[in-house]
Amino acid sequence: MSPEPTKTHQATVFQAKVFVTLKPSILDPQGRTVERALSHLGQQASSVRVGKLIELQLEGERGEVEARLQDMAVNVLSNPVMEDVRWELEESPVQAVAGA
Amino acid sequence: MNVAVIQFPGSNCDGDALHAARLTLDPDAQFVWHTDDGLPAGTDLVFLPGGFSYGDHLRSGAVAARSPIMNAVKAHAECGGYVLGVCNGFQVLTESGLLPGALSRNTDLHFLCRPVHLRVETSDTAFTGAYTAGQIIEIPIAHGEGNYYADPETVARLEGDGRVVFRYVNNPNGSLNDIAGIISERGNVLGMMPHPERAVEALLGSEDGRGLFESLSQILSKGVLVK
Repeated sequence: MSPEPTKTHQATVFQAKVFVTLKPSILDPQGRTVERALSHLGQQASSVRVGKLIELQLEGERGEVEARLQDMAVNVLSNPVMEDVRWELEESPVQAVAGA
Repeated sequence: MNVAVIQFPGSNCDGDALHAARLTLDPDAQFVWHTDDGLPAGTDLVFLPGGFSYGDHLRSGAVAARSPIMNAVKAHAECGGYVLGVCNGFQVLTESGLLPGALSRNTDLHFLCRPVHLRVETSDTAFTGAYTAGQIIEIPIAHGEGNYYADPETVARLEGDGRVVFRYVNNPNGSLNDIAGIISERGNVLGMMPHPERAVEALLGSEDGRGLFESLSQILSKGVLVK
C-alpha cells in the first residue's frame, strides 16, 4: 500500500464579486445615453446607471480574505470621490487541487 | 534646475513634455521610468505627462497612481518639491491623493481635442507668476475624461483658498465651476487638463503655455522651495 499523501494545510478558494457604481450625486452621461437608446427601441426604463462588476478569486481563511477584499475594494478598485462600492464573497465551487 | 518626466506604459505626451521642459527649463531634462523607486538626485520639478497610462484601465490614472515611482513623487511633494500633472498626469495626481477631487467622463461622452480659452485666475503661484490674473490664454485640450468633480465642501474650499488656477471660458466637459486646473494647499503641486507643453512654440499655434514654464523657471532659478 502506498503511503497516504502528506496533508498540507489547504486554503479555501473564494469567489468575490465587487460592484462599483457612480455615487447617486454624480451625473452618469453613459447611463443617460443608454436610457435614450432604450427609449428609441420602445423600451421604457428610467434612472439607468452604468457601473462595473469586477470578479476575482481569493485564497485563504475567510476572515483574512474578507479583510483583504475590503482593502482592495475600497482603496484600489473604486474611487471614493465618485464611486460607491459593495461586494459579495462566497466559497468557490472549485477548490484548489493540493500541490497545484 | 532638474526636471524629471515620468513615463508610464501608455503615456503619449511624454515626448512633448520633455521637449517643452528642455526648451524652457532644463536642457538636460530626463525621462524616469515608472518602475524606478527613486527620482534622480536634485530633481526640482516632476512632470507627469498626458496619455493613457495603463490603457486607462480600471479608472484613468488609477494604476499609474499606485506604481513604484509615485512613492518617490509623493515624498518629493511632501518635501515641498514641485509637481506638474497635465491631462492624464492630473488624473494620476487626483488618484494618488496629491490633489483633491476626480476627473470623470466628459458630459457629452466625446473625446475633445481642440484649442480652448482659459482664464488664469491667479498669478500668485509658482506656476503662473509670468501671467496676469484674469489673462485669457489659448491652450489645447485632448481628453475624454476631464470633467472635474469634487464634493461641494471641497469645491468651496478650493474656491475660498484661491486654489482654482485655470478656468475654462467656455466649459467643454462639464467640470464643476469650469475648473480646468487646481493647485495643492502648499502651492507646489499643480494639476490641469489642458496641455501647456503643446503651446510653447508659435509655429505650433500658440505660445501661451510658455508662461507656465517661465514662471517655474523664475522660481526655480532662485532655488525657492515652497514654505
